[in-house]
Amino acid sequence: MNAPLARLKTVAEAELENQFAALPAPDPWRSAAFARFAALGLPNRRVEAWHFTDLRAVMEQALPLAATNGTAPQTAQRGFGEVGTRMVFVDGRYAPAQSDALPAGVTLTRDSSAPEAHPDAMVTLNHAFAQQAAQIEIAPGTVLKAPLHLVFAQRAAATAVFSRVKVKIGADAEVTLAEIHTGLEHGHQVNSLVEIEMGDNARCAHVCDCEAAQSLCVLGLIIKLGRTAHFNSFAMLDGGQMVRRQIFADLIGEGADIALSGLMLGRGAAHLDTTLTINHAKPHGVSREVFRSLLDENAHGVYQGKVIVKPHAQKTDGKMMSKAILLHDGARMDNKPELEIFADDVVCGHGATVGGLDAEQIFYLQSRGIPRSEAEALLLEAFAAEMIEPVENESLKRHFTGRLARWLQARGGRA
Amino acid sequence: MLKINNLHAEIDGKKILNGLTLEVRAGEVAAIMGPNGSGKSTLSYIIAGRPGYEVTAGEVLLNGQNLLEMEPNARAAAGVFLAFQYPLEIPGVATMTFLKAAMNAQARQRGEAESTTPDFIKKVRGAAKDLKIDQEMLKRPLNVGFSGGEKKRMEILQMALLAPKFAILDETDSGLDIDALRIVADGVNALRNRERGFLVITHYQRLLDYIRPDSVHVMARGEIVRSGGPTLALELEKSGYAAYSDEAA
Ligand SMILES: Nc1ncnc2c1ncn2[C@@H]1O[C@H](COP(=O)(O)OP(=O)(O)OP(=O)(O)O)[C@@H](O)[C@H]1O
Ligand SMILES: [Mg+2]
Repeated sequence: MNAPLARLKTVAEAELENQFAALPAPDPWRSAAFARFAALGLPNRRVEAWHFTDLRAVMEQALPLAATNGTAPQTAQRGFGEVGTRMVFVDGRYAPAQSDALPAGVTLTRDSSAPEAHPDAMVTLNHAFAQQAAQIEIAPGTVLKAPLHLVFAQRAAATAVFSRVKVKIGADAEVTLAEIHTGLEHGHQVNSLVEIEMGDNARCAHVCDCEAAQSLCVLGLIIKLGRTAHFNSFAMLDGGQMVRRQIFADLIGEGADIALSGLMLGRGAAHLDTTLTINHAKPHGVSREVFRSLLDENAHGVYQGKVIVKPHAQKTDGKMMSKAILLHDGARMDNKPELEIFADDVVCGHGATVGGLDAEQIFYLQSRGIPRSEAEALLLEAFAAEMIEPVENESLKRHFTGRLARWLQARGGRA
Repeated sequence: MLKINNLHAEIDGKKILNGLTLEVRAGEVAAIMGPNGSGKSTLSYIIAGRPGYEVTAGEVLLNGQNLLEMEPNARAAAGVFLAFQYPLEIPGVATMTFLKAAMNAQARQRGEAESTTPDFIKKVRGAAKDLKIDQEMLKRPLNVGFSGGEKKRMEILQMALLAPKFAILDETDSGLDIDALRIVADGVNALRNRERGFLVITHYQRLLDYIRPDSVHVMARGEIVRSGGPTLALELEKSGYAAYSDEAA
């Protein structure tokens, strides 16, 4: 009998190991995180949560780490909505010169403390490589009128970028957070992690925008909600070689309320993945997940949602829905909604649909004189715009509406 | 104006129209009555261009133009309008947006100028007022959550705005209350003129009391089995279709 073979490392895994070894004196907890990552390896089909997104197969190499300081090019500094306080992170590092002064009640510090070990390999890799976390604290009771824009800008070189931002929202505070990933035209490898901790009764309206162009992006979001805290989020993902957005939400306070929504727009050979886990740990929690995808050409969409209701989380109210429209024979969608319920007094449901445009609706519009391509565009816009509609901040809503219109326009009059 | 010659059509191999022949002249209002399932809606869908039917023989000409070779939107631009028996709900598309898209698209295809926004709004407001359609409804997504009667009125609003050459009303009276029936009939009558033709499909004489037809046709098993003047409808009201189903059996 042969002794069990050590798992063969891929080129990228070996390169990551060399890169980590070359780092000057990382904190011991970072080394520990890297050791955990090395044991897991890059996520692949055999890891359940990554079954449809085989990162190990796609990531042929690990791009060199971005240099530690620099200025983002103008294009990457583009505004995002007109109103807001901009905090710019260039290649993962906070760039004060390009950022706005912080409003009262908001502070920014560096945090080098060891994070909790995380089961996901890419979160763990982020912990290992991200130089330090930027920690944004919003004092209890602070109500911010203008949104905080977290702008993650990449410079022109094709590099690997690790960024990590922690946001602590104090009790009763209210904030709109816009997470913007930009400057991705040059084939970056982005591993971003945003960790949000919400105090009791805090409110956060979050949006995430990722126009991934030619990049490979793993966007992590870890949220912990205190008692009656409310978090809602809308994300627009488009383009890209591969975008994996993963959300880990823990409703650790009673009566917490989370509403996640998003729109994935795929064409070319884009692979877009939204995977989320909602963990209801306390009674009276509410969760809503509503995602829609438009997939053209050979794009591949993935939605995986897992809602876990712990034994004590009675009266949990959870609903999840993913709908995809395939616009081409080559497009594909994998939906995997799951409920794991360990409490008996809960109301939970989920659904998922994949299909083409409704032929009856197209005929109805055509019968009024609207040409087929225009009828399709109207229906697609309607399908997608319903996701943007609930975004409360008007300038953010305008931004997403414009992005959607441009995406649809680029599709042109094709049937 | 509209000529249907020996039209045979099937869906999924099932024959529905069996050599239907019918002519409607410019300025004429022709009524079609006939038992459930006789193929009335199928006929109107085929004229409007709904996909899924196989026309195995025959032709449909509008002023000499072969409609069956045209896309549904081109037929609409050429002047065909169908008020659906079951109007569709279009979630997410505001009624105003839809109306503007339809009017502009038709104007473009005909090589006419698109109407300006203020002009368009004025036209819509006027037509909505005539049909007693609340302005608020125009802001809602098309037909979503509208009552049965509201949907039918919305069809007539579209007809009024698009001013077709030839309009088919497929059971527009069903689901309308007595007042709405009168309003809708007034809307149709206002559009009657010497150039415009109508095909009015209905089960009830009541509609024909308001919209006086020039001719009445009985359809059974995919054919026109009898044609006559307005009195034919009154006769059918009394005797039903028994004679025609026997004949066809
Ligand atoms: N998609 C389809 N597949 C099979 N049969 C169909 C289909 N659509 C319609 N039919 C059949 O064709 C026949 C004619 O239907 P149609 O709707 O045209 O009748 P109609 O005269 O309008 O009836 P009503 O008075 O009830 O509105 C019916 O027997 C119907 O069941
Ligand atoms: Mg019918």
